[in-house]
Amino acid sequence: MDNLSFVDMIQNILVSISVLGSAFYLARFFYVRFLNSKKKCTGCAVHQIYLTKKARA
Amino acid sequence: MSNRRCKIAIVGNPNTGKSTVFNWLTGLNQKVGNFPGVTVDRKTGNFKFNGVDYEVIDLPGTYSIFSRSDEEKVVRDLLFSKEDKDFPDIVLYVADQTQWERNMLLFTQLYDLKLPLILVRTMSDQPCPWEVSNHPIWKDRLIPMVAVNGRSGDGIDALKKAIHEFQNAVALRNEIVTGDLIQLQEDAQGQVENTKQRYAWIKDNFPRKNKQKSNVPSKSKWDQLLVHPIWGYAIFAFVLFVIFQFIFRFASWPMDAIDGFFIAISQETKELLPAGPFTNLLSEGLIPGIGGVVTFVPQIAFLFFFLSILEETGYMSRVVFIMDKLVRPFGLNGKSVVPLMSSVACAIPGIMSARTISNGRDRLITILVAPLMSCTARIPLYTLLIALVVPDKLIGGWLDLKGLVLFAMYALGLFAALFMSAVFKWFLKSKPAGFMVMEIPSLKPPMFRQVVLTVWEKVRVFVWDAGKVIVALSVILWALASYGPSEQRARAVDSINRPTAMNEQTQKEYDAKVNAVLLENSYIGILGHAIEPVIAPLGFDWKIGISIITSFAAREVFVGSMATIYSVGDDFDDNTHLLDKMRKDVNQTTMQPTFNLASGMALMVFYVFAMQCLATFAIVQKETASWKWPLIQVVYMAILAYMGAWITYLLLI
Repeated sequence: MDNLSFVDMIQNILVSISVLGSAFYLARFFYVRFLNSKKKCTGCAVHQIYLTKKARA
Repeated sequence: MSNRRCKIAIVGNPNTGKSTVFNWLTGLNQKVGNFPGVTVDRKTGNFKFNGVDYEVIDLPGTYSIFSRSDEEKVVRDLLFSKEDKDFPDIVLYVADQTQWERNMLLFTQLYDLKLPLILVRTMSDQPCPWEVSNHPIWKDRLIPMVAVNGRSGDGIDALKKAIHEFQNAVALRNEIVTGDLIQLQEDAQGQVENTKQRYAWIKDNFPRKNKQKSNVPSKSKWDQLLVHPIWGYAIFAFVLFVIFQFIFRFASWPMDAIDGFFIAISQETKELLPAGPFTNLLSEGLIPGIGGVVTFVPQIAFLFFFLSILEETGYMSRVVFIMDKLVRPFGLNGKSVVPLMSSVACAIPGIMSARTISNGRDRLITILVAPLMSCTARIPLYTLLIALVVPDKLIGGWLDLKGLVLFAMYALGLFAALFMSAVFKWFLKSKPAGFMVMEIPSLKPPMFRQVVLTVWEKVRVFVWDAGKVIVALSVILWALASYGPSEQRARAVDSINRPTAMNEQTQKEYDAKVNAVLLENSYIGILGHAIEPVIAPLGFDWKIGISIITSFAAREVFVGSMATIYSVGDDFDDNTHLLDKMRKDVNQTTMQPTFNLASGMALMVFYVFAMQCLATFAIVQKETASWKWPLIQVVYMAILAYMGAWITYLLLI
């Protein structure tokens, strides 16, 4: 393996890492956002009353 | 207390100086995020005093514990939930002493909730019209009280000392008004009765010093001018004119400098590193991606600099007041005007500034229609296409037709925004018994410290939160434009006739042709061909299709993509060659010029309506905390763009 193809190989590996890293970051980012958008308060006294009433109904 | 971090929550009515107290306590040690499930700012910060770490949370302003808006619900949920990770060890209740009677309602509610309270009296440089100091609540040390001057910072050290020496005297407190505040959350009539009793108690316990003096502050001469039915609008128009001059003219200098800086870094990277895909990724994907984020910083900084000055002085409340009745028929409210006007510079700061709209539906409508306002990123596209398809003609001997078309594009965006607001108003349900209560604060000089902190916070949120997503997406787009089926690409390159005698000029032309062919056979190019049947009725070919896809990153990318496809190398700024090649190009399906009046105007109308901005998509997702709304926005704008372009094409063909 000559020097040039070694450089190419390193560059290709770095590109793969960058593209996969970006794709992974975006997937994780969007997933966390999705989870956060679903999160609601359920623990406070007001919601406990609401929940109990709903459960009773 | 010294073993762990002590949590402090700042609570109070809107416009009492909570954020000022927060900023004095924490300085630059702040973090801004959202409360879970809602896009209400969650500002936290910390400070150290006598070896103890304090974490401070600045809660949104609220008038009562009986909540209506998202902001008020956040406060209620936190203060009612001892299990919440943010439940405070100490509550700083910030009260404006010039509005004592109104400020005391929430205070009495928190008092009865047995919360560990310290009362912070702001506006201590102003006279207090009520008898405040001698009340047993403070005299018997049930609640410590500290006077603070937000302008000078006087009293902040005393406040830190009071926090440090705080001893909870909850056990000694008797209820001011009996009744379970938690149970009352669902009892509207009970809430009214409870509130009446509290106001009666406040009147009895904090009498006015001068009973002859009216409770209603008289309108100042400035106010008579600023909310005047004619002068009020004229002054606001002038203020907007000045702000936009700064944003358009003066922000363009640092923006050009930043742009030039990143272009230079890209070129240096290409020259310094060995040729290869990673060098291309850095110089064509990553560095321009970061540059694309940082370029927006001057515009955002300028806009929020002016907006925070208008907020700080109290002028913004007057603007909201006068504009409300003008825009309300369209489903917007007075606070929507500034975000919409800001979107003419850039939709991103415009959408970010929509946070000031407390009504959830009005805020959502404003966010959904803001990108219809023609932003600066559309200008390169408009100028290129107008130069290409609109004839040089003076109407009536003085009105330039090209200028008129440019104006028409801006007007079309504005009318579309108002029309769509009315449509969304019809679709989106409003909460029953909606009413608008607006507080007009007194006019005062702005506090420079507050202005700087606001600008810093907004810039940081954009660069770190939206910026990371934009850069990651730029990398993905670069990969789609740089790779494709290798055999197909090799065949396409082989089909180009290589000149027998190579000189610098022929080499450049050959390289440009290879680049164009490679782009055509990249994954994005293949996608461009794939969507050609869909866009053909609009008079667009696959080359325009590629540009539409790539310009989803940002509208201004359209010109760059066109330049690459028409293989004019990197000479993006000089549109002359590009214009010539675009003019001569023939649509292989219709055998007509690709860019004639009909297709060129259709393309412009398409870009007036189409979302085509990744950064805007990211910021809408962030601001609405949902995927539904940015997706609805992309879809409705795409439908509008397609229909608009189609009708334009049919009318002009």
